[in-house]
Amino acid sequence: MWIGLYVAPGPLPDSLEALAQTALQFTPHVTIEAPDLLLLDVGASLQLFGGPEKLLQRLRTECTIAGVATIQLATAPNPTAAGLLARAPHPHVPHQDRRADTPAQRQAQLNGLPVTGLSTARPHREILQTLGTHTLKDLALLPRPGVARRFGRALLDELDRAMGRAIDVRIPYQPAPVFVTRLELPYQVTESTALLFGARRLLGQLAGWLNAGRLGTRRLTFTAEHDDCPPTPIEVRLATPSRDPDRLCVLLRERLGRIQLPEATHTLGLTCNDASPMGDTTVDLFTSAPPEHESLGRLIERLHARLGPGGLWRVNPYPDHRPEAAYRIEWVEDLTRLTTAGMPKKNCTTPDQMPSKRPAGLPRPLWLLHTPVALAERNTRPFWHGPLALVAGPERIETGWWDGNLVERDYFVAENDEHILVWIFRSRTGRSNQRSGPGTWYLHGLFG
Amino acid sequence: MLSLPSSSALALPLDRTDPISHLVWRADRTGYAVTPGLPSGFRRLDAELPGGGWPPGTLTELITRDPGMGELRLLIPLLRQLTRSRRVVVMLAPPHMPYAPALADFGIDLDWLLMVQATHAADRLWAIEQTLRSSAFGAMLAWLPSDRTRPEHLRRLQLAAAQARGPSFLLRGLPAQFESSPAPLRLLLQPQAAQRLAVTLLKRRGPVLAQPILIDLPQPEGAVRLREPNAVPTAIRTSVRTPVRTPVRMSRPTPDQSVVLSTLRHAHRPPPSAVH
Repeated sequence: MWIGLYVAPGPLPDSLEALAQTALQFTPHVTIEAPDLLLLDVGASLQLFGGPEKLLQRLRTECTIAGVATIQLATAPNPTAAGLLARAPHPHVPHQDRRADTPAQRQAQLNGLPVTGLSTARPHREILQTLGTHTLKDLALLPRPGVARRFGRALLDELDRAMGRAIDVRIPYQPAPVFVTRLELPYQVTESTALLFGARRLLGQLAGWLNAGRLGTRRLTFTAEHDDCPPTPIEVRLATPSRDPDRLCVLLRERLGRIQLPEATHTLGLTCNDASPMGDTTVDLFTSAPPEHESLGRLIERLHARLGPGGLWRVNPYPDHRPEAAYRIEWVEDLTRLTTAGMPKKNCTTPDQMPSKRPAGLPRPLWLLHTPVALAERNTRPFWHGPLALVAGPERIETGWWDGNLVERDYFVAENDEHILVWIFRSRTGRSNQRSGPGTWYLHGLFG
Repeated sequence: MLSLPSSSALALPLDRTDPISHLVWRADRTGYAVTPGLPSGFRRLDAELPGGGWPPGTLTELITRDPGMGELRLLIPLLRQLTRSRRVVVMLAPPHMPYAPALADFGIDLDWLLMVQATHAADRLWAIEQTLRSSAFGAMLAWLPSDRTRPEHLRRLQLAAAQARGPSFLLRGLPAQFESSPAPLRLLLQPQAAQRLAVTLLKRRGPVLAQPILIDLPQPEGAVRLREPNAVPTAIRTSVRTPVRTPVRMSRPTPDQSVVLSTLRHAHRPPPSAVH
């Protein structure tokens, strides 16, 4: 089954090719019939998209998003008929889809079409009119040898293709191997969130392009071009390859919420830097929740898009005796390093000499304060929400002379009147830039 | 002849022999959940929690005066079990730095512990909701912004949590215990002497529990045992003399250090002037 998509002549000359890329979302077989027609072979796509009605509906939606408002759709068993029907306005209802799903319906619909719809008939329009041949039915009733002699074999061939009596072959449109596209916005945009409208149009194109190559992307770059400033790049990263425009759009929206444009934008560009072959997702008979690792990847990429690269992290122990250096923060920055289990791969920052067990010592607190808090001292006892009683210690930590962060401390586990267990230390030296000298108590951790 | 059904079959469906009686929840019984809870690691707590553990798919509020009063050690058995079975634990906006060496000492696989930082309150609530909706986590611990949390936020979060497959904990400050909340399980945590935690069930699906549950907080493996604050002074003296060994430049405490300690132990004695 073929869909003919007639586009009313628009202001932009390249819109037909952009629309062809968008249409690749629905079928790999799209033909551009210049200047105003696309033909889509959707016979193999009907089941996937839930029947011709739903497919036509989605096609209309995508065309609206792509900024092509005036379209006309028609279905027919063969491409020539679909094109003829799409170009011809509906006899009764304007902008109504012409449907000719069976050969009989096609015959009925084509019979009433004007003969000038055939491209080979247009040069002979006046003669045909004088002969009283107005519709395709009239033409089909004329004796074939006479028609062939007077108007040429080509007219008969085209008529036969339209009627389904001859082989009707179209060469599919081959998209460019690299996806780079630009969109001139209809107006200047200053708010970053207002770019979403134009970006969605580009994402539809990208989705078609990816679909044609059975590809998925993990990284896209939008560029907002300005008059005086260098262009602003807007990057979207994904945890798993995808070509779903809605998923990309959600991420882009979170990303745009965090971006401040330096000045008004007139053109939006989209480059797909990273496309990799991607299989299709299997549709379950019973709609079930996506597997956990996949939804985790989606969650991470969504949080990453809104909170930025500093929003997600993990901690790892690090072999250093100074408590503030005994861990390393590992930012979850590169989403492409996510494992199949959904979690980021281990960064190899931990040296090999990392002992599996920490050497025996005082227990470490579950919470470490970012900066130690100096404690008051009452009756020679450190004071934090009440006087603190030392319950374990001391553990002397005296190290770090080699990198300028010398630490000379005696650590204790202490408990206050409310039975809160804390980790405190008494500094043995005071740095000159610290207001408190040696002997001051500090709170460094909470046992939680 | 038509025989009438026996009288026992006509009895009220709440009869014990009736097969559907277990489907009717009576308010004097502890509620049970369709999906059983995840064991908390504390037998006395599990006995009182509906479903026999931390309930998945609902919010659980843990209320403490300040962060760091035992709430994390209460969850350590759960976190250990989840991370070891390769389920992700999300910690949303932790108030301090979760200290990796201590977590590792407790046997938690840090590869499966994901922190989310969200400075703005709106971002944080958004992140909590997104996490709950994704249902991709083994457990979620979220610290709510106390000044920006309104009941309608909590209702939204509770609805979002219904899709989750793991337990979700909201950690809140003390004023929250007097506010109404849609969370079906609310616990007030107060530290007690000797490494214990008093868990008061403010709200649960079941009868009111007046007495708080006392549980022993877990201690890291291989760590030295903590002594009582009022331990015998001789024990302290020996431990001061032979300090715990760390391999790097571990020197013995200076004499004045032990003086300080002994003065701390005997606070009634006037401090010697040599200390400062």
